[in-house]
Amino acid sequence: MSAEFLARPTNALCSTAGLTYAPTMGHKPDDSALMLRYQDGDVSAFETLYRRHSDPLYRYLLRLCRHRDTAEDIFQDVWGKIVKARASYRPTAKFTTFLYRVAHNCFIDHLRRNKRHANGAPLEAELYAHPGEPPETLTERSLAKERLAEALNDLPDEQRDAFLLREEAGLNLDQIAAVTGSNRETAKSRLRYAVNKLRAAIDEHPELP
Amino acid sequence: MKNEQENVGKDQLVTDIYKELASEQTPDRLNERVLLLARSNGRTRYSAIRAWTRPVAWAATIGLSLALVLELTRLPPIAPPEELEEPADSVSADEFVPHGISVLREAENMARAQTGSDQAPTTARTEVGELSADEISVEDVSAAASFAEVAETKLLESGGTCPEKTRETAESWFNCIEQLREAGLQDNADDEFREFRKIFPDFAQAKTDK
Repeated sequence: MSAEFLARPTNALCSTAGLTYAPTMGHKPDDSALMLRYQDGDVSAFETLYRRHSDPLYRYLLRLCRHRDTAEDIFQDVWGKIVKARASYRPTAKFTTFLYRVAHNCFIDHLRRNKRHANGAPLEAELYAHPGEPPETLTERSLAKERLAEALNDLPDEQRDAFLLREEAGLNLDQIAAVTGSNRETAKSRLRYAVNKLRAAIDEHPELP
Repeated sequence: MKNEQENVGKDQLVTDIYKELASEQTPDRLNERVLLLARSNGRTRYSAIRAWTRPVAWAATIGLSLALVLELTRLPPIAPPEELEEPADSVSADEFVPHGISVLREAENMARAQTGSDQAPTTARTEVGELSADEISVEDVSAAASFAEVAETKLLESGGTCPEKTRETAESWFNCIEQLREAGLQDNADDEFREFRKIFPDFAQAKTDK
C-alpha cells in the first residue's frame, strides 16, 4: 500500500462527523476526530493532537526559519490560529496538511514583515553542534550530519520547505503542493533539487555505508 | 536503473541522516503556553450553550409549575349556595295563612254587618279575595285583627243581639250570629239563630247549625 494512498484524505468518513468522532477499538483516534472533539469542548483531545504534532512542527519551523526565537514565535502563532479556527474546522483534508499550511503561511507573513531572514541569516551553531563530544572522536556519521545540516541551511527557502514538509510532516507531492500553494510538478522539482544538493553534500565522503 | 536505485538509496540515506540530525523537542515553556491557550479557549459556543441546556430546562420547569400553582390559588373559591335569609320584618305565610285569612274574613263580615251590605268594601274584598297566602303580610293581619276587635266591642255594647240592619240579608244576619258565638254569647247566638231560621229556613250553613 503506497504512502500516497495512506495519505489520501478520508473525506467519505470525515464528512460524517459521527463516524470519525467515535474511537475504534485498539486504534488511535485520527487527527480530524480529535479536532472535532476539541471543537465540542474536549480539551484533552487537543492535548493529544498537540503532543502528536508539536515536535515535528517545531523542527520544521526551526530549520525553515533558521532562527530559534523566530521559530518559537511562529510556533505559538500557528497553534493559536489552530485553536481559534476550531469552531470553523471542517475535516475536508488531512489535518497535517491543514496544520502545515497554516505554518507555511505564518512563515511567509513573517518573511514579509521581516526582510532580514530573507537574506539568509546563518543557522545558529547549536543546531548542528555536537555538545560534549571532542572533535577527534567525531565519526563520519556525525560529520555527515554536520554537512547535511549545513547544506540544508544553504538551500533556498522553497527547496528547504519542500524537503522539510516531506521529512517532518510526511506529506506527499500533492500535499506539499497544496501547502506551498504550487502544483505537483513544481513541488516535485523543488524536492528533487533539494535532495540532490543534500545528497551531494553527503557524497563528499563516498566511504559512508 | 542503477542510478535510480542509487538515488533511492541516497534518498534513504539523506532521510536517515536527517532523522539522526533532527532530534530537537519542543521546549516545555512553549508547550505550557499553547496548552494554556487551548484550555482557556476550550469552551466553544456550542458547548457553552449545551452546558446551560439542563439548568435552563430545570428553571423553565420550576417556573411554569410555580406560575400554574399561583394561578390556581388566585381563582376565587366556589361560593356555596347563598342561604336566603328572611327579612326581619316578614312573616312566614304558612304560619299565618289559616289564622290570617280567618281574621280578615271576620273583619270583613263585621264591616258588612255594620254597613248592612252583602258586599264588603271593594278594596277590602279585592285585597282579601285576590291575595294569596304568600302575599298576606303582617300589616294586613294586624289590621284585620284590630278591626275585628272593634266589631266585637260594638256587638257587646248592643246587648248581644244583631242589629236590625244585619237582619236584612241572610248572610249578614248569619255572620252576626257567628260573631256572637265567637264572642262567647252562645245563648244570644241561639236566640238569634232561631229567629233567623224562621225568616230564612233554606239558608245553607250546615256547620254552625245547632
